Amino acid sequence: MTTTEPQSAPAPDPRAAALRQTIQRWGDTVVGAALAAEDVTTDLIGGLSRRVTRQRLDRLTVRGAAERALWRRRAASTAEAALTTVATSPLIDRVVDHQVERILRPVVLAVLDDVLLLLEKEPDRIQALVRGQRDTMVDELVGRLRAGAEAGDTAVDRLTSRMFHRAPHPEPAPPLEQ
Amino acid sequence: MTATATREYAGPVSRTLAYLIDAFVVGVVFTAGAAIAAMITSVMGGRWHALAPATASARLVLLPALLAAYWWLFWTLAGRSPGMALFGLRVVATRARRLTWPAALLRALVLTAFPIGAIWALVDRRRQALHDKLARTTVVRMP
Repeated sequence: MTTTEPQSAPAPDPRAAALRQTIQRWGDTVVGAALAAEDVTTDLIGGLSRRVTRQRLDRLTVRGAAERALWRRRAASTAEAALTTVATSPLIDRVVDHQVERILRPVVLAVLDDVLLLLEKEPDRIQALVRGQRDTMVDELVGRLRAGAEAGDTAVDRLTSRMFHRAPHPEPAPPLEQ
Repeated sequence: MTATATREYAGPVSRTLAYLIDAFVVGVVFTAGAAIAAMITSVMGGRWHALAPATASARLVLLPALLAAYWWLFWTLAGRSPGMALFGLRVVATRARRLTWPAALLRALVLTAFPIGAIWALVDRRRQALHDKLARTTVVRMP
């Protein structure tokens, strides 16, 4: 009976291991660079595509707005022409005249009579109104006149102070009134 | 009336405008009076052309006298003339409680006879013109 001696495992070569590790690292670097290049390319293409799409959308928006304005102008002119045609037609004139004669004129006459009667009975109301309006106008006019004259006084005072080399001094208090 | 400390002196522009308005009013009144006198004269048969030199001479005397009387009357009664009232001005006495009629008369006469003395108000600290100095008055802004 023969016996076989167990084979002993060969010892790992440290140089080969270091070489394998270096190769693996370089492989990872290449894969990472490839992935980074893919990302950059994707971003570049996406941005370009978005820019082109935005420009196209802008052009479409401008065109749409111009068309909308054009159609609005056309619709307004058409409506105005139609209204003018209808309003100046003899038929509408006759209808309006008839309604005015039938409804509005009696109402206006009745209201006018009432107003005249009220004025005749109570003239103080209108007189007070007119008087108040007149006083307000006069006050405003006088205020403007006084403000303009005061501004002129200030300007002349400044000019004379400069001409006569007077130092700007505070004026003494005006005298007392009775 | 009680004293108020916040009033200020009237400047030359306001006073000149008030003067011009008063002179315009007096001029209109005088012209209207002259026109009425001419009308009466013509109705009574007089010749206006013969009276023209006399009226021209009278105008040189009557118009300033009318202006002085106008100012004297209004300053004594109200302390302000219509032109001054329009611009919110008032004549006040500097050394008395109120403007007396002699002071108002003196002021009116000096202003009428020597209006160029008003220029002194441009350089005076209290804006007093010559007639103000003589009558011891000044003009304040008092609406």
